[in-house]
Amino acid sequence: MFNSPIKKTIRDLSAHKGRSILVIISIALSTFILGVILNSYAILSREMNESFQQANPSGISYQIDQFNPSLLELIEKHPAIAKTEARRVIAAQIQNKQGEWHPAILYVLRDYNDIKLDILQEDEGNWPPKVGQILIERQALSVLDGNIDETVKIKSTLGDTTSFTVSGTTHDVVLAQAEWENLVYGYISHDSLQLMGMEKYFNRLNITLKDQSLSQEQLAPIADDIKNWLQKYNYPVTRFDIAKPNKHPHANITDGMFIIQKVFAIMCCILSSILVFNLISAILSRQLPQIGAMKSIGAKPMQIRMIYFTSVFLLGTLGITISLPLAYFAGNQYAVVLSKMMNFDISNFSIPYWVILTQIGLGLFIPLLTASIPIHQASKFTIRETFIEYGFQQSNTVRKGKSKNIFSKLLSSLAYLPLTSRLSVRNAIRRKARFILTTSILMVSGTLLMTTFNVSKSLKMTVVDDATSKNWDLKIEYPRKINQKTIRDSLLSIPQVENFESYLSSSVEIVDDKNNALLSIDIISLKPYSSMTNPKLVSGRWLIANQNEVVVNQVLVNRLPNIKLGSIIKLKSGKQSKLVTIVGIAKRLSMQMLFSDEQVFSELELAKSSKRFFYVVSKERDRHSINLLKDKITNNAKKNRLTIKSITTSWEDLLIIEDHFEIIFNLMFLLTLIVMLIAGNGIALTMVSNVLERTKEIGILKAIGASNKHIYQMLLSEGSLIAIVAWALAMLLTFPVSYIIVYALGSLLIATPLELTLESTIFFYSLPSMLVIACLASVVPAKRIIRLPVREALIYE
Amino acid sequence: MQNIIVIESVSKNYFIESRKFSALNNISLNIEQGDFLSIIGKSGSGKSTLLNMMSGIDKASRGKITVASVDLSKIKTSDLDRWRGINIGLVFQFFQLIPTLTLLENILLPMDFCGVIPRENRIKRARELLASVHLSDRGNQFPGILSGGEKQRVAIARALANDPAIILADEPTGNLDSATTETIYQLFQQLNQLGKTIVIVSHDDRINYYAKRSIKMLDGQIVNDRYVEAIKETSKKNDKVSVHV
Repeated sequence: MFNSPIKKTIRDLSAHKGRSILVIISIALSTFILGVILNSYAILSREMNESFQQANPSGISYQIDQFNPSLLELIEKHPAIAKTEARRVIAAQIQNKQGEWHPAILYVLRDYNDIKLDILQEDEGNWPPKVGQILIERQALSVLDGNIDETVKIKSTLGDTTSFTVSGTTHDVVLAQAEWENLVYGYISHDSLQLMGMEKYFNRLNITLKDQSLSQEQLAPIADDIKNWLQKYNYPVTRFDIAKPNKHPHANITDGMFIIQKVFAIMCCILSSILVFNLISAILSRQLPQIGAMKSIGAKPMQIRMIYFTSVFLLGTLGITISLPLAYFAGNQYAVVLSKMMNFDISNFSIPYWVILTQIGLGLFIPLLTASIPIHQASKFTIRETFIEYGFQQSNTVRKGKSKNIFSKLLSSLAYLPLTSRLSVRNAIRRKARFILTTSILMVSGTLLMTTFNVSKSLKMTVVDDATSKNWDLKIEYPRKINQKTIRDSLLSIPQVENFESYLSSSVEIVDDKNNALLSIDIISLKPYSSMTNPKLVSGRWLIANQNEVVVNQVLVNRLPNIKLGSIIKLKSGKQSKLVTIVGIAKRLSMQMLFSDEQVFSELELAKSSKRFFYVVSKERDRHSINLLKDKITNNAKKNRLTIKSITTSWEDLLIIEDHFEIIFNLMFLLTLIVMLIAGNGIALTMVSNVLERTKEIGILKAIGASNKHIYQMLLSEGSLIAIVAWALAMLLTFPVSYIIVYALGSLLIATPLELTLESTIFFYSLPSMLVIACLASVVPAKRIIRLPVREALIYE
Repeated sequence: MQNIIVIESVSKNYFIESRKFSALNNISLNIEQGDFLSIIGKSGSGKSTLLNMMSGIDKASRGKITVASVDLSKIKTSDLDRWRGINIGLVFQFFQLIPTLTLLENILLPMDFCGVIPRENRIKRARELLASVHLSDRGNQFPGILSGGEKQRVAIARALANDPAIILADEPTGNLDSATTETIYQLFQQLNQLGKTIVIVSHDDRINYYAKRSIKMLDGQIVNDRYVEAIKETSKKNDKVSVHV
């Protein structure tokens, strides 16, 4: 059935079973990783997008103090508007059966059976919620740690507590995932507002435009126009937000995760291709006489090349055959796990053709490409050169007439070392290309290991930096109507309170020259010499009182690229506007925000629409003491009939970000382990090839007195040399690689480029890990050859 | 008889560590079709180099080599291997069989490479060639279990795969014992009787029992070129068993 050249190809591979299996495993592993990532990415991005689109997400959301449904009939007359939806959004706290309070957002819908935008899906239980009933977003149920049919208590901004029954769960695709935000989303009926002692009105107007092709920047002037239109009809807008069109709120995090995974996967493919290079080089090196024989009987160079290309093709095909179906199943499971995490459902597990073709292409193309170098080289040898009893490298050396190179000079310089050590070094670098490639593989895996820990440290330090910039332990929001003195007296009465300070927070618009709103932004009014907040400045300086200046955070600068240090921007709130200068850019992990002094705040007449917060510093700064203080303040407020709208610790905001970073670290670490496995494979392959080629030499050494122990020591030294060189190079490479990844991750995840902080301990832990990999990979595969009797080793061909 | 190999004023120089070494020095030689030529000399005399020149394995530094009416310097490198596979059968000292192919497959290999023998005839031809070297029952075995003599016989059968007019053998008996050597030489003699032009490089005088013509080389030059019948006559007169030139 097959002609002789093909039979030779197949039998050559089975003659080197061990090595062929190592290469097949490496190709299978790398294409499996690639397949899992691509498959899950294809499924998730499609399903996430479809799910999101099916929910008909709103494009622009207006915060209006209060309105009733008649506004919808009015606004639907606006020529640009397609659909509208009215909601009431209430910040609250919710208490579960166990008595634990959690931050919550309540949504009040006009008609659960006719939701036009941000459509909810029925999940479990009863639909719609009746008076006194609440639906909990299905993922938020785990945040609440509650169940259907349980009674929960809701504390509104008025301070009243109302009991509700959890009547069911719903699936709200358009919101950021509850677990990631650590928020409970609840949905109640309009009539339930009366139960809570609240008036029945709406405060959120969500709309979509007829033109769905506009970008976020293009939507801004239209959104502003509609805002002005609303204000003309006496519906003052305190704030509006423009969503990124067709993008889920957490799409950037999933995109970031997939980018990292794809980079790792492609790296695995490249590494396994390097193994293919090593294997083919090793095979060709031993088959030079056969190549000469084939050329002498009429084989053309192309026919020789085809024999070895076919080998690589077969290895790749076997690898892909193993990995493709496994990747399909594992990719589906991975997609299911991620979809649960991201709170949407998968209805269709089909994989687009491009995913399968990419796996096949990379699984075959990259190995063929890398193997083409030694194959092409070998096919160019003349018959005479192939019959010279040298290996590849030395024939090349003879052909070029060169006998001195950097490696030879290096060996000469090691004359002071014992002979066995010199022999080890010589053996490790005798095949220079192979030594370089093997060291490179281990270097890449070492770099990734160090980088993973550097990235983790950088992310952690970012959180620590941010926490450090907050010199407060608790942030408490009180209703505006409460007298400040009353609040101060209340706090002063608690001995554990060390210090406190109040500030106001509101919302303004940044407008352009024509007074068109570019975006709405939170503004915080601080005392310029506040001891409570000390954000790290990326550039510029902090505020000086009464200077018409602001400090912005980096997220804003990334959002509006024209803004930079020294820019003059126009702030607008209602009829008031003011020009201010940006004097500093702060690194603050949050949405876009700006800090001003009280003068700017009052000139914009923001006081009446602002929220009042108090920063509180605890005498004891550990988390346990702070949690106790939080309970004390809450109980004290209850005793004095003082309403607290919300009370959070300084680290609660960051928990979410920490969780996100933890996910990134775990992912990178897992992928690094896989890369190290492939690297181990690569070294094993190299050492087997090295030892096989030296079987006769090993026989001679044993004949002249070397024991198996001496041979093992030699191999361990060779492996150690590879590990040490790789580790040294990895230490150098990790700096730029870590910097790039940290910078990219920050920009992607939190719109703030991060600073690199090195994890110094990993430099020391990584060396033993690399030594273990290299030494195990050196010794284990060579056991059989080392134990060959001397007679057999001496006649080995 | 027509000359099948014509070597005109050929020299070959090598450079090893920048030093020039002359392997052949202005050699001229004509070999007739159907000839059986032995090339004898000590190690380093240039005999293998001369053989390599004839087969196109190596290129001359100066001079012209014509084989089967083809000037070897004019053949494109990309065509030379196939040309050699069709026109010349090479036999090596170390056999150079492919260890992962059976004996039959080793003989099929040149036919698959060159494509001159029709596909439907290849297996039959390979079996016939294997039978001609008395190994017909071992076609499915691998070279690793054969003796040296058996391997060389298979190598000869492989050399005949595309029915070349010329057989060039470089020290074909260098690794064989005396009895096997005789067998191999007899085989070459039979091939010559069938019309093949045979050129054998050897440092074993016994070849001259079988060859028709012998040249002796020393330091890259032909120092003696005689027809072997004349040598045998001389030996008989002197009652010497061994023949030498």
